[in-house]
Amino acid sequence: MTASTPRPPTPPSAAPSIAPSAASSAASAVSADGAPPPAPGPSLEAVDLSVGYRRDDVLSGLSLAVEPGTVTALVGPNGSGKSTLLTTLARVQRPRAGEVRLRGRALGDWSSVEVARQLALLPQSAVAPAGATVRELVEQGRYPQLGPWAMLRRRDDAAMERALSLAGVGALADRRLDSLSGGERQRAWIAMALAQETDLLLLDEPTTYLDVRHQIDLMDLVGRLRDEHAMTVVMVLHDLNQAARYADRVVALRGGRIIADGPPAAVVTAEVLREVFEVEARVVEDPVTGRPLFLAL
Amino acid sequence: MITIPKWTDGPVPRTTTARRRPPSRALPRAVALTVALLALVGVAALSLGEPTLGPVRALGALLDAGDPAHVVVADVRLPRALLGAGCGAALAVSGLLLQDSLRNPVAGPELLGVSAGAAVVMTAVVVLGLQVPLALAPYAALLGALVAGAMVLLAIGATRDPEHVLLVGAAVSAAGAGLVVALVGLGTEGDVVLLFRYLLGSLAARGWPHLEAVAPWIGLGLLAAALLRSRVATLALGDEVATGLGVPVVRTRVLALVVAALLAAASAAVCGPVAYVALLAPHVARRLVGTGTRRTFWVAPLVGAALLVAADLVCRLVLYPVEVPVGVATTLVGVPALLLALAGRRGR
Repeated sequence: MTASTPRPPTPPSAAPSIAPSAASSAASAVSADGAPPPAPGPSLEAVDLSVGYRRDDVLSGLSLAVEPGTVTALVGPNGSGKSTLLTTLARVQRPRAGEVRLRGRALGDWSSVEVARQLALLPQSAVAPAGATVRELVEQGRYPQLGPWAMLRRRDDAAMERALSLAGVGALADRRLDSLSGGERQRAWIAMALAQETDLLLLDEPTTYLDVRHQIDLMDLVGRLRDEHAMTVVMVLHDLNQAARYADRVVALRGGRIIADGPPAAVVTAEVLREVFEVEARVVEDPVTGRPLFLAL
Repeated sequence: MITIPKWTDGPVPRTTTARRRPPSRALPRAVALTVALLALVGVAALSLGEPTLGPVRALGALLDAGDPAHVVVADVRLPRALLGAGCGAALAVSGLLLQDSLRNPVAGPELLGVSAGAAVVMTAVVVLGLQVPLALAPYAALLGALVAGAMVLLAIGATRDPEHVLLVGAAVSAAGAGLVVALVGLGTEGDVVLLFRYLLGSLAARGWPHLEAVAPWIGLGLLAAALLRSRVATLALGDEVATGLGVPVVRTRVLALVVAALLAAASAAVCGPVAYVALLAPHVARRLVGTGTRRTFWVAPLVGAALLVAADLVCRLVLYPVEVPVGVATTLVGVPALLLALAGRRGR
């Protein structure tokens, strides 16, 4: 509430900053002089979570608390359960045991629409309807806020415009999704999630299939959502160096358990890499960001 | 209780540089256009034929019980046009629900076994000479359609996989078509008329009793579809996205299938399996207002109604006094139109 009026960012695609290092290392300082986190305690919490398909447990007895206003990266080899953890946190998957708490209350105690008003998920399975435009996609993000007759009202339009602008796809609003590049399309999906107007954003491998430039743009956007809009982001990342560079906290999973958890410097180490990914690597300090950078041996 | 992120309170940026077709205005415009089209087709349906009347004369005869043309306009042409409009709207919404909830642009009630179920019952009634009073015939067909639809829904169970739905539906439809052929084979040459009266899809010789039999079902189905439309819209984005938006995915898909089956059954019960309207009308609606079941819902039934009434009118006139079954016309128009739509979609 005390926040000075947040200026919507100038068209972000116009001038992506070339050296985001200063911004991202000063991230904690920036969020400190912004509004204090709205609710004390973790915004999203997994307590003793077990999730499985058929007989096998994908996650077993996993606990994780996500602090508000932070970016958390989930990393791990294929089949480590990181995507399952993300979808379970978003109530898409039901846990076999344990529970997920949103603002301290079990997910089951919220209605599904109440959850969707506080937590947006962008899964990998997202399908763009044939011929849909960016605006038509983003409009779907308003579903949890719609009234009983499901008509779009003025505040829905306003939320959509803000989401389009924040994700940097305002100029593409009336373009068809199938005419966009992979990076633009991914931003359109992010705009759809932003239109939900949630504090929490869960992303499943948002940078996969994107070229380097679009990967950087997307990660910068995630940083801005945290710094300028006090959002809490949890994302599954394939690229460990990306996780080390952009996340406040890295959680490494293997076999459905958390092997290492902490700030990048504590998690991206030669020992953890060996244990989690079975990779022999040397970890050096990234000369640009000062974050850890791993090089496979 | 729910804290709104601070950026949501900020000023609204003007993002769009070229707003060629703002959705807010496209929808009322498309509704007005299709209503006008439907009205035009409706007046033509009341006026043309034998005797051909001017539009003013036809509307006058409709209201004036003393007019010599009153019977033909009010008791023959009007119920037939209304039935065409109602069935066209029902088929269009049925197709829309199926296409969006199964994420398949060529899904239609043909693939739910519903049309086949109605056809089997009607064929059995005629060929086996079952004693079904005329007034009850639509209900018998409705029963057959609903049984076939229920079989498909039961075979599917609570599946999460849209592909599976289409496979099961195609299998039940094929079984229904086989049964119809077998039943026709049992019949005599005189039963061939049935083919023209019903199996190809026809509105000939239908009147107020037919309309009264199915109107409540169509009304119920359209109302249910209106309530489902924004949930179905999210299904088009994938099951996980829809769940993330707070939509109960499996329940919504099953409800959408039930409503689609009900609408298609009501239509098949009185005018037989009219082809391609269910497939085509949603695509025309998307051309007019873009994707998104929430908006296309308002346009697709109007398009479907206009399509079917117009097709029926053409079938009535083109070889007068012989009537062509309306299903033939919708197929002849539907196939090239669909191919054109698909070509245009790929080309852009």
